[in-house]
Amino acid sequence: MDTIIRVTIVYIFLLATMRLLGKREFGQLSPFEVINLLIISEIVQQAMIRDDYSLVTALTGVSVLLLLVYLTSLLSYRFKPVATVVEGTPSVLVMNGKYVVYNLDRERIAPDEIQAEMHKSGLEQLDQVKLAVLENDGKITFIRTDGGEVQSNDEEIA
Amino acid sequence: MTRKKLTTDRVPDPPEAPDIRRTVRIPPEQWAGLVLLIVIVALGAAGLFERKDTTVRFSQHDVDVQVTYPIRAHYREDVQFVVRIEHHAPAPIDTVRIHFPAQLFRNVADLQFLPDASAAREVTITDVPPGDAREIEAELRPSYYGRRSGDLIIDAGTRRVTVKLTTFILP
Repeated sequence: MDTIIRVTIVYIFLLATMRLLGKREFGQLSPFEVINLLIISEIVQQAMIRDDYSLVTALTGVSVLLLLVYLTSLLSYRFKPVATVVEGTPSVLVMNGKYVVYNLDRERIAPDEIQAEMHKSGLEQLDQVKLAVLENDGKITFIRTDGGEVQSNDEEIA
Repeated sequence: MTRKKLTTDRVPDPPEAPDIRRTVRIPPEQWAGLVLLIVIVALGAAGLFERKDTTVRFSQHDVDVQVTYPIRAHYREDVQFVVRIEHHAPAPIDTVRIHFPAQLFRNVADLQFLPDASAAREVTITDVPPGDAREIEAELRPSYYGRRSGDLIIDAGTRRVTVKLTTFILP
């Protein structure tokens, strides 16, 4: 029972703190992925190195975590307000070639950072950007003014 | 020449996806996974994966025996067997022998007896005065899984008390 309570508390705590920290801090991974990786590794590690070597405790902990993850995704899908609370909403950073200062301040993103992301996407001037959005997973996506295709940020240099 | 303003104080909402009627559908394979997870959590919540000790008491021929031992423990977790003997006979008992069952003390690590035991896991106590109580402890770390049973035998003079002990070691 102790394991169940501890896993639930840690899950809710991490979920809440990561939502409060903002999207950009975990840009490479979604908050859920970070939480899952952190908790699963911690539980399994504890079970492996602690004195009791208890596999059943690790299995209970992981089961609680997976149930919570499933429940969260179920509720987020079924009820949009839940998704808004848990995942947040995207923020517009650039609108019609102009920085949206309020959102830049709120998300702590400097114009330099947007400029760098623009370059990665093959965009040179702010005028070329109709919309730059900070998505819930922490990545910045661009929509060009001319409707053209944006180069993918993830493309590797051959 | 006027410099173009690069910022806006307007806070626009991001474009939203169209709303659809959302229905939760859980496919059979997800149900199977969910049931498995719920069963594990329910068993854990019921305490079936936790260590549990029990105490059994026997009274026979003026000798009271109390044995506290784990009925459920984890692999490689310290466990203790505590035997308490109290005798109410008018005369002292010269020798009390406590024989711990071999089945429960095989494949274990860090086995320790207090007081010391013989190689055959037998602890001997001498000169127990009337009304006196003695405690014998055995500490160990099980290195096996599953259920094991054995008889703890206590010989107090001409009297013999047998206590059946069963322990389940979880992985």
